[in-house]
Amino acid sequence: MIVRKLTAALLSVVLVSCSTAHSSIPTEGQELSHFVLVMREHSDGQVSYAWHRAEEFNLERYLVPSLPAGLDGRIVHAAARPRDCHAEYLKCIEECMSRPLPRGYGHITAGRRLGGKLEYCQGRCRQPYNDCEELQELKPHEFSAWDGAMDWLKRNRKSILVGSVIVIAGVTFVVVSAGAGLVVLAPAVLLATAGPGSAPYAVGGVR
Amino acid sequence: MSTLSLDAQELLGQLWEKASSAEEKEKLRMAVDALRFIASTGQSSDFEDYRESLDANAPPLVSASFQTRKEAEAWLNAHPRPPDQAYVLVAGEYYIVMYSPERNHRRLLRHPALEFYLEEMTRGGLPAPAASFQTRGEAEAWLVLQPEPPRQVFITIAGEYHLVVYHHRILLRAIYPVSLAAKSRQESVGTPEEPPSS
Repeated sequence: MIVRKLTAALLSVVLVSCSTAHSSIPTEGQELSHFVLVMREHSDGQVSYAWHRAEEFNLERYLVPSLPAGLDGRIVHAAARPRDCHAEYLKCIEECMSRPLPRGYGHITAGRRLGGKLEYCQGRCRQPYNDCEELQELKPHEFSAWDGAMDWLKRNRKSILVGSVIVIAGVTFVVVSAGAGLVVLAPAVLLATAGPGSAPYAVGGVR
Repeated sequence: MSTLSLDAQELLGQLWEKASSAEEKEKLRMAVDALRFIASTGQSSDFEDYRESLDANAPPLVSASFQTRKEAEAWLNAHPRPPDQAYVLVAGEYYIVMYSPERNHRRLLRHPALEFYLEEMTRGGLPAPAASFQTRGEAEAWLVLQPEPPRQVFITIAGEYHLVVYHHRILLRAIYPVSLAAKSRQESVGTPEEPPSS
């Protein structure tokens, strides 16, 4: 619901800004953290993007309201090491195959080979695999320059999730709105410092 | 709908009447629905073929076969609704299709289905080979000439055991070296299994 409201609110801004899409490209690595990126897919399949000065946006509206107490205003990178979801899936299958089937599955293998057991294990290991892939998509994607990030965003705009972290030229952006042909990225620094309490933000793990 | 399917539905229906909880009833209903789905989507004879292949210890069901990974990826990406968790062969190796429609996540993952299958097929020991060949080429020439596809038949090529199988859904006759199973077992368990003490 919230996303839909935001999308509606932003749409007007985007429509206006399309003609001036390239007028306010921030100087690389310099002011990037003061800009919000809006990418929009048009009905003809063309994708346009626009950088807006962050002041044009009321970033308070994008703050995640459900941050745990004590973490307000901080950025927490949850996972640092990339996971190999395929390897984890294979390990799950191996472990499942090495254990006996639960009671009630005897009919699958009676008089037949163990193909049924493998199907059972695949079913059991499917959800953990999905979860792993989903988390990978939430991990930060890093780009040294904004044009590389644009290409990636264009390619992945349909699968991108709200909350995804994208690092462009050393500046961390968070996807604050996605869907219906519209993707909005806001600098994490602004999201963090605009938070209630205005605690100092921290990039990196909080242990 | 086949008589057998109707008979099975009748039995499931009787169990449904006796079932005590709503949860049990729902699970039995699901089994009935699966049989109805097979019949109403015109898959009754495919289903029968599948059941026969299970009885014949056929290898895990394969839905498509590709020469290269690139071809397979092109098929997967162009598919309007890829068959999630189905196996495909890429250059004779098993891969599993992973498809999550809500995220449009499409992947082909190398899968050890064949290794598990070959392990199972050889666990009870190897029978005398049905035929022996000097080269793989000779074996393939023989395989093509068989009027009926040999189903799960052991042969040797240059003294090495191979299993001849039939992927009935894609009408593909294939030869797999039994050593694939042994390799997988050594990696996963560490020690080769003791020969059976029949």
